[in-house]
Amino acid sequence: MAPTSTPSIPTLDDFLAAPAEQVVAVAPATLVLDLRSAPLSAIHASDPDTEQVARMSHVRMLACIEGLFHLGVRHIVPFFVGVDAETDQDADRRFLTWSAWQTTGAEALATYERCGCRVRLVGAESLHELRTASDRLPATAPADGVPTLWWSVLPSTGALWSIIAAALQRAANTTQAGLIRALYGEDIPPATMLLGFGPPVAPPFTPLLLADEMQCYWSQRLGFALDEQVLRRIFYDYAYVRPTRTDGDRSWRYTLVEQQRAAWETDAVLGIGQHMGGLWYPQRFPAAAIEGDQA
Amino acid sequence: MIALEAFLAAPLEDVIAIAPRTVMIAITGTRRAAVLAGKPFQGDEYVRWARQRVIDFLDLLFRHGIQHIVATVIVPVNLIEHAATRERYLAAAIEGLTGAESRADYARLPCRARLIAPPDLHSLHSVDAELRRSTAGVSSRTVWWHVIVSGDDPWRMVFAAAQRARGSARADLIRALYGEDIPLATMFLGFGKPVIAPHSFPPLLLGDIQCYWSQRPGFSMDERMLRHILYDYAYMRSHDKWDATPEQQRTAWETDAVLGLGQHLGGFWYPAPFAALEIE
Repeated sequence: MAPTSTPSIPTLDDFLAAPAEQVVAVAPATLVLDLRSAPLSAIHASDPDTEQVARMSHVRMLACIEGLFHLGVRHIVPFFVGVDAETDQDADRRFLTWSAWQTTGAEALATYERCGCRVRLVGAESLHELRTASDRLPATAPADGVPTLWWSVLPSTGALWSIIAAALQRAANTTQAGLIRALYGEDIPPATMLLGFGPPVAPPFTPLLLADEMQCYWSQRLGFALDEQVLRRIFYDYAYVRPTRTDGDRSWRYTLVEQQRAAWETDAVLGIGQHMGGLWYPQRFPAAAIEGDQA
Repeated sequence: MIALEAFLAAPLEDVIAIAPRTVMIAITGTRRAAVLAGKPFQGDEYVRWARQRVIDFLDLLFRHGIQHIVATVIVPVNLIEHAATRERYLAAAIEGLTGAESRADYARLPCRARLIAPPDLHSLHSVDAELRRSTAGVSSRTVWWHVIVSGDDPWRMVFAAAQRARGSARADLIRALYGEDIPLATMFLGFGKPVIAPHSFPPLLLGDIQCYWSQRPGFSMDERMLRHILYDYAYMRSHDKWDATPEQQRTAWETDAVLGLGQHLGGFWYPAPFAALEIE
């Protein structure tokens, strides 16, 4: 028999209108923010239009980070990934210079000040362009409760792996926490959410290192334009819709499966898309066809 | 670029030509699949039926050109759910995919099978040695079963590889852990909720992984669905040169819809509808 509804779960509409502290209470402690997306990475080209798009994306990206801190995320791990350095010898240098502007430019520094957050450039000590940029960041020591931004700038595979290999050597023990301390410099709570843009793509090694089970979401808005309502919808799904494991007997769920047959036999797949404006865009996912009202 | 309908009907060699070399899979929902197939969703008959579904799915992937399948037999939550019978559950799961019946299936497909376990689970390393011996030389196609009993295990395997490796490059660590070179994975096939966790994404094999989550439970993916996914992988994902957004597409890029939002469906999670813009 299905358990009765849980009174502590608000409706989506109530949650969207709830005081910020109600959202903060269910927000993930650590969130991986995948910033690979075509409009942003197109900055590698010198097209003025592209540059304009990238600048707009930069402003929106910082607003997104500010919004996430406002809604209670304590650790944000945004990452960029470099382009293939094997086909473009100068790619890593341009990528790191561009990343330095993204992470320590004037708008970025102003955002950090408003958020009251600490900022770390992971692996900067091994990458000259980032080491210089890192010096522009305000010096802040580890402190409990202070929101922290862990910029992960991931250059071409070879350079990145050197950083990982060094962390494997200096880790104090052979656990996930030990490797996190070696790579990030301190303990970080497990990441339980990944937020990205565009097609669903898995994160590389270093953001994955922070992961527990990450509930994943990919927005399709161009240029990281996520407002608070969209973030609240995502947090609602994360807090109240994704959890389906309960301690009690769950066999009652299987008594309803036959009525859900059409939904479970769908051809639709999360991740299949189409081209739009030269970019990938999701194909339609149909509403669940259910006999009776179970949703 | 070939049209989707043409690709769905194309000769198998055309599909094989664009298929990824290495795919990670994490398929769940087998009990739901059993119910839909009119089978019991627990007990010995369920276990036998589910094992055969796994083998059929491996066959489907191999026939479409995938050379290496990376999968996890046990994840930590399995052992929490079966805490009272942990050892028996673990042994049954391992036996199911490495025992005589499965070895006969691996010979028939044909493919090699390997069992990658945390450093301290010595008994499983013996199972792997026997599996390597019994499936050696039949094919270069390989299924790499992983056993992950705690959240630290994926990382302990990386550390163990680093200690044994002859060099510090990633390829050295892959050779140390797996015993040979393996191309990095570039596709993930999952079921249900879009979740990413180290136990399903062995870290050393992470490439630029394009992810797909079917909503057909268990190993119910058929050839048409797999071809559609491979089409997206080969022809849709790789096109990343942004053109100026025409005005008529603006609503699509301003959508509130997010891949990953869902709803409850009789105690399960199910994706919320995503109303994509119809494109000429």
